[in-house]
Amino acid sequence: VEDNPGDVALIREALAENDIQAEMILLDDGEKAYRYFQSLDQNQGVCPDLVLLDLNLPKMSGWEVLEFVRRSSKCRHITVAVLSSSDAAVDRLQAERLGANRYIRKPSDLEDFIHIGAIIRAVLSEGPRT
Amino acid sequence: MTSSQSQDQVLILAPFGRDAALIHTILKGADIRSEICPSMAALETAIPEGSGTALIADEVLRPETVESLTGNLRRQPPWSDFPLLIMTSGGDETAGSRRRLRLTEPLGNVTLLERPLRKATLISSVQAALRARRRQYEIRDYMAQRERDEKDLRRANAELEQFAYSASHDLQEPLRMVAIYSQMLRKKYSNCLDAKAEEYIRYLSEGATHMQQLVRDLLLYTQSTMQDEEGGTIDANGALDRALANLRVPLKQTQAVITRYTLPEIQMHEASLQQIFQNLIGNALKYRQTDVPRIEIRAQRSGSSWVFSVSDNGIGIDKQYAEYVFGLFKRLHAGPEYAGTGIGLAICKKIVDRYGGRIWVESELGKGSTFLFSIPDRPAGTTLQ
Repeated sequence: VEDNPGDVALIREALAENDIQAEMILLDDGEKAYRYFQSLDQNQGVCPDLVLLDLNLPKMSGWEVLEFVRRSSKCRHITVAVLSSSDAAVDRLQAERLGANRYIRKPSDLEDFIHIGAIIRAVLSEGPRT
Repeated sequence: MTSSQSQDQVLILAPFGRDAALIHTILKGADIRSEICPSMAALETAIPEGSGTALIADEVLRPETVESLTGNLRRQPPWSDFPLLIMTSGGDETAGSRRRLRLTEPLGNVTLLERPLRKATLISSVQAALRARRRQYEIRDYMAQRERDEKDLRRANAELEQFAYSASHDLQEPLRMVAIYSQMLRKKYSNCLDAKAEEYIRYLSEGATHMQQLVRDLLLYTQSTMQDEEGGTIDANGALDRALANLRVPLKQTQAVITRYTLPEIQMHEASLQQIFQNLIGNALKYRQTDVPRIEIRAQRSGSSWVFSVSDNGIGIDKQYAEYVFGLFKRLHAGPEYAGTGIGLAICKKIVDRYGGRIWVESELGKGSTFLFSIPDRPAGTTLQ
């Protein structure tokens, strides 16, 4: 869930560099993400293995999306990694409180961003939360 | 009657005989409004509603009425010093007149008018009292206006800090894109870029990095005094300890020799004092000469302030730049040798200003610098600027 095409391209790059083969569904605003999880709840389709969630999104914030995912009867166990440019302690705390599995700050350095691929691999191997 | 009209009004308390009615008529003839109060209680009710002065016949002054009136006047706001004109009985002094005179002492701003009163004396005394009272009301209005202005200023400052905070956060985002994609260009296209293109990308990348640092520092600058209201009494030695601990890497690299004298306890937010020490000592390490940096930290009393000083044997500052260096993003040296954005001293100045102190530098090129800052004592209950 990411509205900045520059970051989307970087995430693709990070996945490719770390040999992660995955189908990627891009939702570029909070409302689209909300509706996507709503339709999953109504038994249409399978839950994704991982949600990479930006916080500052058009129409609806990432917080609301995260809250909805954790309330969802079908998808509440899926892994959510918040990917945000904010380094504020309050945001980290809030993410933890709302049940995010990871909080990753978007780096300003290319190599650091590519390394997010390795973090994603580790998160995926941990499996869904129980 | 509105309160601004009643502020020029004379209250008359002379319940025996015809004095009250007579005075009322005389004052009316001089264009002075007055109101006759039938009792001390009525007068006391009228004073807080706003009046210019009160004319009181001393026959009504008994210990209990004086006590009640004194209490009433003491409950008036601090700007108030209500003028009272007390009409005494003329003639020879008696035990009774002396007793009544003593009674008036606690009432404060009292003028005695001896009866029989001449018309001109009455009018000029009343006018003088009204004039004094008008000045008090002006002070009241001025204080109220000042309080409103200060509140507005505090709100404007808070809004500005909030704005700078969000702006610097929002500015980081596009900068991150510029920084990261210039790296991406170099990584992916290095084999089809010539030396010129490489150079341009380097400028792009350095520009973005520099601006990121500026924006980050701007954020630090706006946040540097946000917590200062909470300051209690702190041990300045502790603040220095923590500043030195944060600087342990450059201290070790430069093998600097630190000489520190015992510092006092002061009223300040500890993180702010630590920040000042850290910036000043950090600068002393950065702007060193080839020999080992020697840094001395001390404090001494000056009037009602503590003056702290951080001296070094570094490269020094030309006198003409002694004020310039405290400006936001002002720098004297370019290039990688003395990296930085010019935020450190600006933050120190902002903090010291907020405590009503002063920061300055005594220095000569090539002969080291001494940075000094004063922190005035802060009486309990005062707010920062």
